Amino acid sequence: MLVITHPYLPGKVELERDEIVGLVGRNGSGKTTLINSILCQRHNVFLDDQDFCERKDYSLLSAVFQDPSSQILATTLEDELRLMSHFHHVNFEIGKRLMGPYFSTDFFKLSDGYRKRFVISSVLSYGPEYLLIDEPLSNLDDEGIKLVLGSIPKGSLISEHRTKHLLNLVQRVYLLSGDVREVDKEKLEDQEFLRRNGLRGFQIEYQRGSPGSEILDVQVGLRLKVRGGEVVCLIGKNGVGKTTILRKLSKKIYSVFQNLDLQFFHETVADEVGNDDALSLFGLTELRERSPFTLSLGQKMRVLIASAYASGYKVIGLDEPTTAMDGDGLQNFVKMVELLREERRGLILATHDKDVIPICDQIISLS
Amino acid sequence: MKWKVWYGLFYASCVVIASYLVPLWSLVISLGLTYKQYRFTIPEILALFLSYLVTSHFNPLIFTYVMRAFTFINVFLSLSEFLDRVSLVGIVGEKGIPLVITLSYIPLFYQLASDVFFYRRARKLGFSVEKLSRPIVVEMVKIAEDLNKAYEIKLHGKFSRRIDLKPSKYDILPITAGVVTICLSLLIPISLVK
Repeated sequence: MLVITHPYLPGKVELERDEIVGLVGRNGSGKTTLINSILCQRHNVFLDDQDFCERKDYSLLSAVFQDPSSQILATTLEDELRLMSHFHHVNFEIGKRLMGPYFSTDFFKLSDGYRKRFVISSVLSYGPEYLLIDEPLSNLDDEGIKLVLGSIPKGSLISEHRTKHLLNLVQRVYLLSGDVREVDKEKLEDQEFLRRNGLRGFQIEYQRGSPGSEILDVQVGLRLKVRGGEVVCLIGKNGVGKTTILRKLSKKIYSVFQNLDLQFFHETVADEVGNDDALSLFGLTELRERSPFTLSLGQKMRVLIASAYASGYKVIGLDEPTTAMDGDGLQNFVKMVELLREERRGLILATHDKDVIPICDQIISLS
Repeated sequence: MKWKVWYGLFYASCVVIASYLVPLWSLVISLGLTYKQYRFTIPEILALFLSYLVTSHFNPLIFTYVMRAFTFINVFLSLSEFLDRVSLVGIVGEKGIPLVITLSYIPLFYQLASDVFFYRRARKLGFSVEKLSRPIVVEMVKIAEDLNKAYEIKLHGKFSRRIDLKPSKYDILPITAGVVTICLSLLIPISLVK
């Protein structure tokens, strides 16, 4: 049995070889810290009553972190396994089976689902008995989710916001909220429980208004019309062209793209937003002297939306804004959308997140 | 299709030597092996044709150097496309691993830099090295942190060096191309420059 304790939270996570266990909690509750504990910066991992950190045998216990593109060692899975085989035994058949025709395909040409599958296959190839996986489903569409879920083995601990998908996958669930405790799996269907604990999966409440007059009418492969205070959603699976449309509109609207950190060019939040009214409207006054890079995900999104508001553009584009957000982040995001709508700004939302569909006034499905 | 490092180096050596004997054959064969980077091929042929016209008017001997320069570029392009980087570990050992990993991240860093430049233009910000470098540096530090974790977990255990000299079916191409280039240069010494 694998036992992990959190350095700052009372309680422990236990995992048997023949089960899949879920780990849920708000952003910042310690899920990633708990998964990172296998690096033994703090000794709190026990494997069959032995201190794992004394031997650090990663052939028994391994981990897959959030962003697949920063944990590859070679451009194809085949090359990565060859590289790893200089250090320990590697079973190439596992990689071939999980990646199918993409075993020797360049990582940067793979879909998001296969990228996650690449990194999971890589660690599974040396047959660890236990696997810790951090947010394997974030930013994936239904097809990607199916691909990833099909590659998760027994003996896995999965940290995930998307509680709906955990329900059918895991046998037990731990909640991180001030402490580490096991909760009934059925709780993941309880709307009040999800909302209270900052988890995803509850029905969002949204004050719908009436859109005003037309403020954008463009042809970008499709005819796109946006009215003041209207939320237009571009939906469709990964790679269908949602981001491309927002990129094409870059001179006509102000867009916030997926990788938030790449869009901060200034030293402080105040310089980034560049307008005191916008800072106050979006509740950023207290953060004005902070570096935007040091903020939480939700705060970063708020800074970028405040910058978009301050830019004076009438239409704001948001590319997959809710990808890595927890339940609290989602509720705050909806409040920001309501604020922008009251200011009669139009919004174009590129998303495949079903949780945000209720806020759309107009849905354009791309295929 | 990947070439093991030593067969890639054999091809490169043959082409470079042949370019000093008769530049034409090494240019033609090296150009043929850049077929995957077809975007370069047509501009290169046009540039060569233009160079030939210009240099034949002023000093025809210069065209020899032009052909040699293009040959070296072609060799670089084909090696960057076909070289099996992992086989480098067989030659230089564990020290080659950071190099192999770094080479794998070139597309990601290129993507990051293009995105940052695009976001700057979209926000109509002026050109400032300090501002542009800020998000790139932060992202690179994040990648380095993640990569360090992946390195520790995936490359556990003791390194053992394996040198696989046996040529694969793909290695036949650089071997043949190298030998053919040398043979043609020695047997059919065509010179475009008199």
